[in-house]
Amino acid sequence: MATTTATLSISSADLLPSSPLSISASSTLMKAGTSVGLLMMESGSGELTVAASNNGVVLKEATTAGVGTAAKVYICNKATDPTYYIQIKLHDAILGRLYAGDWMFMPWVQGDTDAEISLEAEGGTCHYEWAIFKEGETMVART
Amino acid sequence: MATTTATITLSSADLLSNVLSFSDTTTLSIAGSATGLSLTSGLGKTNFTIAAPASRSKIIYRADDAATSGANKVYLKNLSATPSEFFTVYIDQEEMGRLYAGDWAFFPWSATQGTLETFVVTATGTVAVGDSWTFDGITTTSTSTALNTFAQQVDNEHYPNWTTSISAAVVTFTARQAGVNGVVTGTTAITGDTLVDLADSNFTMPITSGAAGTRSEADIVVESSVVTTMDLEHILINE
Repeated sequence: MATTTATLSISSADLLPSSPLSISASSTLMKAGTSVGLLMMESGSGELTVAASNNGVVLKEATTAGVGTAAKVYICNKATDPTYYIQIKLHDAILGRLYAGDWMFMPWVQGDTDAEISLEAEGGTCHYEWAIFKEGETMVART
Repeated sequence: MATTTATITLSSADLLSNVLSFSDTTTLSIAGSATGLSLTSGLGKTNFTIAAPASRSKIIYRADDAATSGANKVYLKNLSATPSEFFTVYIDQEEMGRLYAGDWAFFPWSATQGTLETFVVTATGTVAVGDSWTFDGITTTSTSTALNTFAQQVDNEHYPNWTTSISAAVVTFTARQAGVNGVVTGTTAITGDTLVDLADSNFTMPITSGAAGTRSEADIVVESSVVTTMDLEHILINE
């Protein structure tokens, strides 16, 4: 098994004027319901143009092998213009907007056939990076 | 403006043949600008102990809590130490995924809001001292024979599910949260109110206009996997 650690730190000296905000969270990415680490990782980068992603492009399709698993997804918008953003959708639901420099890390149901993650650039071309940590995947049989 | 940073570090010595180690930091800003997000729910902890499966889910944040299409950010963490215990996270009806023991998530949130139900009532006829109108569990009893004064009394109440504004004898009710409240069934009727006209003087509080609401489609809903106690840590940082 592999040991992969995801650590988060959120801090602010002035968001709450009366007391500094400091949140720290660390988790080891495990298979669902176990203490066995996730074994698989996919990652990549790409460039989203507004026109090409007009109706959303699928970052990753769901797979039945992912039913009930503990997959995690990381996405980062590497654009530098603060008005450029990537809209993230979970199937038909709008999750949110990743503005320039923003990143996200979330669990992903993966196995639901209506759970694809799609991206759509707005404002201008957005370079992005992504990674998926998961338990397994059903490979397509040779025909 | 506030300056809030969020940093993620992903590392593994044995997932790949090369060491995995990368880190990313973002400063949380309002949509389309370099101005920092300045609002927050504050860090909270919610306990889940409800046994009935149908009641096990909770709305952690309502879309009404943040700006639609803003650069809002949400942090969630499952504080359980039992590996098999997980929270299932939903955006409205869409399942995002499962947070197992110790897992956390940090994601943007568009907070797509519905519309607030609203209606207008107008005090009409002849009001007598002691006449009353009850709505949303609040009873207003007239202390005057002036319609405008009674309307002002209605406006002075603090309704649990509605806010009010007033103009002369006309009171406008607006739901505190988006949704199909079922109070406005059209522009000619409201449900759930009770009027007492002691002197039978034709005192009425008729609806004069109204519009039904629509539900939000981005509420963040979390459901625990087990009926034993589970805790979720969370914060919303928003516009």
